[in-house]
Amino acid sequence: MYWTQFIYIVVATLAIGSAGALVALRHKSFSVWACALTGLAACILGTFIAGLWVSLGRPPLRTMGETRLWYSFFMLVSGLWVYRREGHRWMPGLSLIVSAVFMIVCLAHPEMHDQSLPPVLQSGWFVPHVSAYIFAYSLMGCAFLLALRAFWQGYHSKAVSRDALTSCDNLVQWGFLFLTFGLLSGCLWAVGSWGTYWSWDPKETWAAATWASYIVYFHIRLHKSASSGVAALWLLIGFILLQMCWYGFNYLPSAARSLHSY
Amino acid sequence: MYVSFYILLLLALVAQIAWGNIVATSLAFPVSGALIVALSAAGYVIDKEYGHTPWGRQLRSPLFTCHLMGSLAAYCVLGGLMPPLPEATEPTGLLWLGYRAGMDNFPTSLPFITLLLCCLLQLTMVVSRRLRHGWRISDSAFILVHTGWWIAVASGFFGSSDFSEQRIVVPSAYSDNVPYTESLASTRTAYDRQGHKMALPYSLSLTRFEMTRNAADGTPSRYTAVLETDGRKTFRLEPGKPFAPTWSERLLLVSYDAASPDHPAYVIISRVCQPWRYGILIGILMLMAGTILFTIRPLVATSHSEQ
Repeated sequence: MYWTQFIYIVVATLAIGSAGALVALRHKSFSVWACALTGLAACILGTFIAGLWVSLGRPPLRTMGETRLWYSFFMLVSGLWVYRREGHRWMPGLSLIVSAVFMIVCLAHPEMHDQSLPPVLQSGWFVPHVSAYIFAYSLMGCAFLLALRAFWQGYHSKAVSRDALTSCDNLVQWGFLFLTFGLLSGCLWAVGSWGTYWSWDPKETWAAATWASYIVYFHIRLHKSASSGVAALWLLIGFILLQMCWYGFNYLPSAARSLHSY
Repeated sequence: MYVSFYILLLLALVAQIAWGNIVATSLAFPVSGALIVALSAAGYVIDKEYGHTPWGRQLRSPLFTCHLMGSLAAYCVLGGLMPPLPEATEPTGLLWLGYRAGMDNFPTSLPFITLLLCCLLQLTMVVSRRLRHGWRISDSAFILVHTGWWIAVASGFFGSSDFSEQRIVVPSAYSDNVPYTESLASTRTAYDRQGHKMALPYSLSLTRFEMTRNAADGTPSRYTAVLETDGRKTFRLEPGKPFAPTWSERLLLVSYDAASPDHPAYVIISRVCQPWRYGILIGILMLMAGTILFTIRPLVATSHSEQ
């Protein structure tokens, strides 16, 4: 597979994914067809990523454009997972829209897709660290969409109900597992590459802020009398911090001293 | 209780503005060890003697954790937003306040250290309470996560005083015609971040350097340096593959003579001494195991209830 073929993959993924999202919306209960179509769309994109991996001879996880491609794929997978687990029939559609945005950005700004991989990235931690983070980002992205929905419902009923966040709890718990794995595998990788587990690099600083914000969310949910609106607000804060950690910090002056630029 | 916490943070901020960042080496071992023992004892005694009081319960509560971790996130955000100051430039306005508040190097600022100490105190209290009140197998995830986080933070924070990093320029000892002589092509000198010279307990020399390049653009895809210590023991260094001469020390290949990459006259090695690394590693592994247990526990509970 080559980058020039990506446009066809985008068209196929969007067409089949849209069909899946429409079937999910039309059926009040869980639809196997919606699941199968969304799954097929994810498989097409996944196959392209695997093909790109083979043709490049390295994992396509090096540049921002390549991580966006993975995010598009994981967003479809996460949307399907939420639909399967929690039964939110609008989720395949919303996750497809987010995925489509990232695919279109990839088309407009493909960035580098050459075969080179700097020696520091030729580590066994590279794939698990980056892919765990991107999968966590997609799960947290779905949790963000659920939190927005909770706010929308709360706007109409004058309060965010505690039950509205139950789906978020499950999702954030899994997202946090991958986020923690990404963070800690990064520590183990860093000690071999840079000599320290943690060096308060700008990206690490934003990663710490993101991780702490989701811990706040968990502890708010543990506190019985705490407001659900505050919990949902922390999901939004966590998602914004997550965007900063992923690419936002690159636009700050402090990014110049970051070791996380390849 | 929460007001007292924010007053404490404010006092730390005032102290920071007045005296500046803490000097990391002032807490080197054995001071760090004594502080860990004192902090653990304080957490245990506070929970045992005052854990039943309203403020003792508040100290252990999830809501206090929210205040602690929320403040930690906020501090990281402020530190992350702080622009680096070009040399010989005086900050003005809000930037001046940020620099006075230690935001340019916030991990050693007093408010941040106060936050970390409060985190460690609360963790000691919640873990000691859980252990004193009958530890059950169902508490494993809780104990692993909180103890792992405690160990990782304590080892990272207190261990930073004993951390040191030096750069070594290791000259090449090989030549096509001239036979190798240690005195001509070895070094016993390292430089710290301030450029101060330090003597190494062993000599280092470069005996071989190999590089492979990407066929497409000619950039280095892999490079390896073979070094010798005291003219006897040889070892191989690659980016991401360090060598440990002693239990607390790591040597990492950082760079090479870019002017002559095929036959470099020297390579640059980073020598990192971090005696607390094993504490951090144990903390990381416990934290990871606990997080996995926390996540799969509801699934296990569901499958048990279905049976």
